[in-house]
Amino acid sequence: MKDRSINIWQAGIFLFIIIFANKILVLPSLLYSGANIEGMFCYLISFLLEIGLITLFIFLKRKYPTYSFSRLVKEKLGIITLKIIYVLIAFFFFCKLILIYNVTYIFFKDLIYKTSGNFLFLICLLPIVNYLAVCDLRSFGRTVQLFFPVILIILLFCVITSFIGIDGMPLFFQSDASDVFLTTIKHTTAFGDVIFLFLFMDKIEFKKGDGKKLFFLSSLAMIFVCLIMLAFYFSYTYTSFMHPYAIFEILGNVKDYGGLGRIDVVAVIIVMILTYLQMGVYLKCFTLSFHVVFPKLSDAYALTTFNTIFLILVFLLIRNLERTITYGENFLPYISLISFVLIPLCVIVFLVIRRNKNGKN
Amino acid sequence: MIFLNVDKKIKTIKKQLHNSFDVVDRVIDMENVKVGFIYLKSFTDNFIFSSAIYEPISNFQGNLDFETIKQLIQANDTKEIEEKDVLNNILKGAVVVFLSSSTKMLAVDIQKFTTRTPTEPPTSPVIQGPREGFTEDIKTNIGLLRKRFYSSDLVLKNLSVGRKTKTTIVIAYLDSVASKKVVKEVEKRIKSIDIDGVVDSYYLMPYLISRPNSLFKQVGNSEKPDIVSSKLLEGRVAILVDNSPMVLTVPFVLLEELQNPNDYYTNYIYASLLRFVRLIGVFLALLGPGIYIALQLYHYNVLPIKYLITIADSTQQIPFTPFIEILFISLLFQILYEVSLRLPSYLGLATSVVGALILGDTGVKAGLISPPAVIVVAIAKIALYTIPEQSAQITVLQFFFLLIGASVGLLGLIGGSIYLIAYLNSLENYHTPYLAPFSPFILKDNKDGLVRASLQNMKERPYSFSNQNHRRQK
Repeated sequence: MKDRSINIWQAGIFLFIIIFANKILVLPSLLYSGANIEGMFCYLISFLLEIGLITLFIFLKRKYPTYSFSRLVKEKLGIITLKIIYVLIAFFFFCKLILIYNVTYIFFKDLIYKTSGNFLFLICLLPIVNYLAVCDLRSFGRTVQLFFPVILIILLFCVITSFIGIDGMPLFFQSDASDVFLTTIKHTTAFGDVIFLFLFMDKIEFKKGDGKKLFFLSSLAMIFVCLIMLAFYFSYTYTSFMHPYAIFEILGNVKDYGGLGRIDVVAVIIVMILTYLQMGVYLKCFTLSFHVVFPKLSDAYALTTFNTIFLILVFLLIRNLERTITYGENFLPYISLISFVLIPLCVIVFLVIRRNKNGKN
Repeated sequence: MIFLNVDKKIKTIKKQLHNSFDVVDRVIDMENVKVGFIYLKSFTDNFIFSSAIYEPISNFQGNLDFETIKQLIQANDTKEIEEKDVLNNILKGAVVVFLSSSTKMLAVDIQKFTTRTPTEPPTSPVIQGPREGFTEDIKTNIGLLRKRFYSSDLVLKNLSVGRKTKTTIVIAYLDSVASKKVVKEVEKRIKSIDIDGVVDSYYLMPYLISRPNSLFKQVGNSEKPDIVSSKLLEGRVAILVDNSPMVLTVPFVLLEELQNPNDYYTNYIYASLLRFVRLIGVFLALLGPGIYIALQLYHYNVLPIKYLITIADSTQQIPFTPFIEILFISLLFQILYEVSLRLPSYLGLATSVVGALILGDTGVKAGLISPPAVIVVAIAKIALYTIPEQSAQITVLQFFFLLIGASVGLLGLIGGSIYLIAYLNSLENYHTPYLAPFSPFILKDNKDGLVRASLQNMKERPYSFSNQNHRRQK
């Protein structure tokens, strides 16, 4: 299906979801075990890199308002480079899909689906995520726009109630700077998904001043991530590394608050919503990349390829928290090079080529 | 001079009408001219025919020609017609007059049949506000609209659809407000319909939308002239169909179902509260049974312990699984609903008593169904009628979500909701997003969205769909 364009608010909400979604579940606990409370600096460093990518996107969009990223790469770097870059991007999003699926599977299995098997999760997730990937981007954009107020209200609720439950604070500055940098590199996989903006480049309506809206929504997501992480560290202080599911745990810490009963179900709901939408965006990106690599093949081929490999990997390889963490910490950081090195490198090359052309003229 | 053989002409027309019993012909034979009349007695006013057409002509003393006949006829709706339109006019209740000295013919519209008065429609009763409703007679319906617009801006375009029924369709819109593009598209779609007959306006619905196989209603409909008038004022196009009291309006957005005529005849703060209540009603109707079943089957550990004990206490003696139990009660309700719709009102009441008191109460006492399940289904089924126009769609979705809740729990329910919203977002008719003004979010239109602003503040027409003039008041 040919995608119709989305407006800047919808693009910003996609950005919000992508920045926020995979950083609030297992990451705070992992960062704490690597760098204690200074784990928050890991967030800040990675956020700076993400802001850099968003700035690059805005810069490109202003220079080439009607261009798609693939067209730019093709015109400036040639078709072979284009194919290599898009194969890598498709691989990046595929690996992220595997990671997200495993993390959420383990989370749901641990907490609310104790007796259910993997098949149940696949039945729930795959059809919806596939539908989101093939439906028109504008419909998808409008869907996330409709869910955005719900997400914001739930997040505000989580943050406010969790801060009310806090009665302690861990000590700052217990880790070395090297711990912080090493932990950042180890968990860099959780960042850099903002490169989806480059794939949607020609499908985003962009006017003067729209960059601010993107920065606003991405900053909002980062603020929420930091608030949840702080609430988590302040709730569990020195035992934070023992509590794997941050957003769920912070609400578990304020059980029976205000006569509402167990409110941690709210966290389950938000994780479910975010998982669907996030996986939808990733699969959309995978499909778009697949189209660039194989322009003559339809969506059906992209989805069949994805689903086949995904099912094999999901059934054979992982589904246990330790193995997933090992996969995320040891293998996936390398694929983050695609977003933090390859894409910026491409943009710099475009600019150098442009400058040389201008100089010659 | 003889131009036309009247007897032969009458014979030909009667033959074309297969000598139906209600075809009446009259001939006045004067000195040098013959005047013929032909009409359907079941469809025309015999009294007017005698007093205003037949008698003045038969009593005339003098030289009778076509122009004289025209002056003698004392009916308002008289027009000259061509040979090819003779049958059409007779079938629409006109008397066709022809005379031997001329090739010209006259059609006098004296159509008559009994129609009901514009009473309050049962589908949209109001506490305050106008109680008039459309009838099955298109002329009456046009009159009901006309009396609300003493303005030349109201345009009415006449079309005919149906190879056999040749049903009159009227497209109504405000010339300075409605989008010309939408009007053209409506006209084009109606003209392209090739069907044997249109019995009711619902027959047109699938032809007016781009996704006819969808479960969801994509054309607005109302039986009330005040509602249709307000939609015309917003820039929509109305489609009136002869023999149907239901007037269709396009473009349509889902928000229209949350709005109720009563909202505009009551205080705006109260109206806003009612809209929230309706939204909660829709939520409960759609997801209530599904959530209950999902919590009971998969996520009982997230329930507070007190609720868990209450539910466990009341369900432990039930022989069925929670899904079968809820499904059984839901189906029972649906059967009772169907029965009460088709039975006379005095029997319908008895059925309700049997259903609600005897079956429900005895079922609980016998330990076949649990009280929480009855309460959940009752709430969901009552909540269904906060938006009666969408009750069919919500009922189908209710069963769908019930099945999902029972099969895969909360994760499935949320996935189903995302799918539903993404699907609704893909629906577009006449370039109008189905979920506007919520997605895409149009701030100005939200003055009459989930909340209703006071009428002085609603200065502009909706931006959710195209119209020519957005300014409503200064």
